[in-house]
Amino acid sequence: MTGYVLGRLFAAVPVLLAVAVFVFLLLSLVPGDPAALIAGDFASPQQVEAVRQALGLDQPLLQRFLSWMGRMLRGDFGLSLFSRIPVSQLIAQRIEPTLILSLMTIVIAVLFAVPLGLVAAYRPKGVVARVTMAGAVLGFSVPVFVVAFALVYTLALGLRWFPVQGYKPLSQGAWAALHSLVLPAISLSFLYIALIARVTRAAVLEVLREDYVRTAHAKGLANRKIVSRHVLSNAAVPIITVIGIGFAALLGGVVVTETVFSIPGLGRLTADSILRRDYPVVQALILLFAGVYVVVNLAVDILYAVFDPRIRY
Amino acid sequence: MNLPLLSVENLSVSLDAGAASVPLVRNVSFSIDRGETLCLVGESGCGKSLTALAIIGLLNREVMQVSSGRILFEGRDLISLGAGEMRRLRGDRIAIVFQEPMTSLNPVQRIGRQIAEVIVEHRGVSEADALKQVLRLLDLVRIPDAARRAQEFPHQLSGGMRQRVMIAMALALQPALLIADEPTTALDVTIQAQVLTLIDDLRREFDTSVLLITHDLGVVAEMADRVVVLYAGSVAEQADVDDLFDRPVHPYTRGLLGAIRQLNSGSRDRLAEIPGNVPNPVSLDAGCAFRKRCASAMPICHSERPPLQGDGLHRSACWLAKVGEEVMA
Repeated sequence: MTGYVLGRLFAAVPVLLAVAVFVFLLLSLVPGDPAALIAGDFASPQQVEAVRQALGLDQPLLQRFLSWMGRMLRGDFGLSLFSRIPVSQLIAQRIEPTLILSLMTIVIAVLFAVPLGLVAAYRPKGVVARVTMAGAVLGFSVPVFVVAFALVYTLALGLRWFPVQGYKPLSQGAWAALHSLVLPAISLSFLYIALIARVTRAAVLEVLREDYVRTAHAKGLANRKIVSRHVLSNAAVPIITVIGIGFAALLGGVVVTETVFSIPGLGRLTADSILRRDYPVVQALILLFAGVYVVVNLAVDILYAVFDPRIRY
Repeated sequence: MNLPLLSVENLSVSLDAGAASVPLVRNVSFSIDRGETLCLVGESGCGKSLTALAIIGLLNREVMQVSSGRILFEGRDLISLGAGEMRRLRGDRIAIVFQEPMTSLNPVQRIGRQIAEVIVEHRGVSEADALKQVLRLLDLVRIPDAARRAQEFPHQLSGGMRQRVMIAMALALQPALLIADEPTTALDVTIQAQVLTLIDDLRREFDTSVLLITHDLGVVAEMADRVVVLYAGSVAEQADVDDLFDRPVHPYTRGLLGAIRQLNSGSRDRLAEIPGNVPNPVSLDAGCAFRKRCASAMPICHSERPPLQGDGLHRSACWLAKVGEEVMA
């Protein structure tokens, strides 16, 4: 098991390295001169040249890459071109709401989707199956902001249970933070409920046809025990995969939801930085998202091995 | 006279195909005494496995139904039992070993736990206690190094070993009836004999009745006390094993026996075979199901299905037997 984890860990290194090279070249190859950009519109050629030397941009590409990598590894992502705040600090401020929102969304989605998928697989012609599968199509096709506005209109403006928008940081209490993210999490979760429920149903349907499920029935086990001990653990691999991918995608891509609900998270930081051509921030964010994907995939791989001994050995 | 342990009476199983209902097992009757081995013989698709699944209550309810008949086990009719009562019998009083050892074990659970599970379920003991019994069971089915094997996963075991695990699981609670559905078909020839010997030894040790399903008459000769030959869902012939091999009545039985006799005599002629295929159950008509493959078919075979007749021990469903009787008389 340890060997397997170490192997997976080493396999992640080249992926991160490739992303780093790409991100670095992104800055070097984009049209426009970063030195000119940083020096400002009214800088003289001498000033631009001074900035170029100060930033080391006159060095050869490889050398610049190595010193840049060195700074990245030390956690020094440079200053934001726009706000002049260190990028690491900027991201640290924005990561909290996104992280909590992603976690809430995925927890809500799993809590609903896995039981729905299970029931839909067990009673393929039942009401739950039909409603779930029809609802899944809806969940895929209705844009998040439509769901979000509908929820805001009913639960926030109508019933006044939740705030219309905004985020209360954890420093004001965990309950306040969670409460302020309920609506965004619900509106995001529809898509993930649809996705996870469909995958769960398909995976469970496949397992139910297996001979060892018949063996479990032949032992005289009750359905409940067959599901928990024999069906779910065998259906787990595809379900975990889609949960993992979903979680990683959430961390990097909740721009619309964060915008609708005015949440100061990573999604909005990404969108804003791209629009402002704030390259150091964009670079750091791309590296962060790549890192998140690698870590989540690693976690998924480890969970595969936990559930399936054939992978472990 | 003692009641038999299991008595199947006029069992019919049908497939619900939309509006139509196709009978796959028709009016099958047989009984098994305590400690006895009964072999259910026939070609693929003749209804052997369906009969077994009906007895242990594992027919796929969405498409299959017991349409008539009774299955008396220890005096109770299994067909009228509730799902919960049937579940309590399964694994405890009636157990089954399936044909496919490679896929019949849960690939993600240690085999020790898988066997222990049936003991925990029916005896309510702790898993730790059950696991101790598992080691004894693994010894019993002659798996060496039981303590280590119990910790392994199915993919670490050979097919023969897995089938032994299935047998250990089936015999864990010393069931009164063991159903073995082609338990050796998927195994190497050398392993087949070992597994069959094991089943027979354990039958003797625990006085278990065995319902052995096979298409291999060599296995029948080795294992059976009594034999039921199924053809197209109906009983073609049933008899004590010696009687059946000495005096087969039904042309189908004769055909099956002819095929192995020739092998044993070392003849180099073309293999004897029964011409044609098993008829499609949808197309069965009023006549004898075997007549199209039968060299002795008579006019009556086309119009009327022969009833199962004979003395209590040796019965066959063939008009030839009837004619023979009348000639004798």
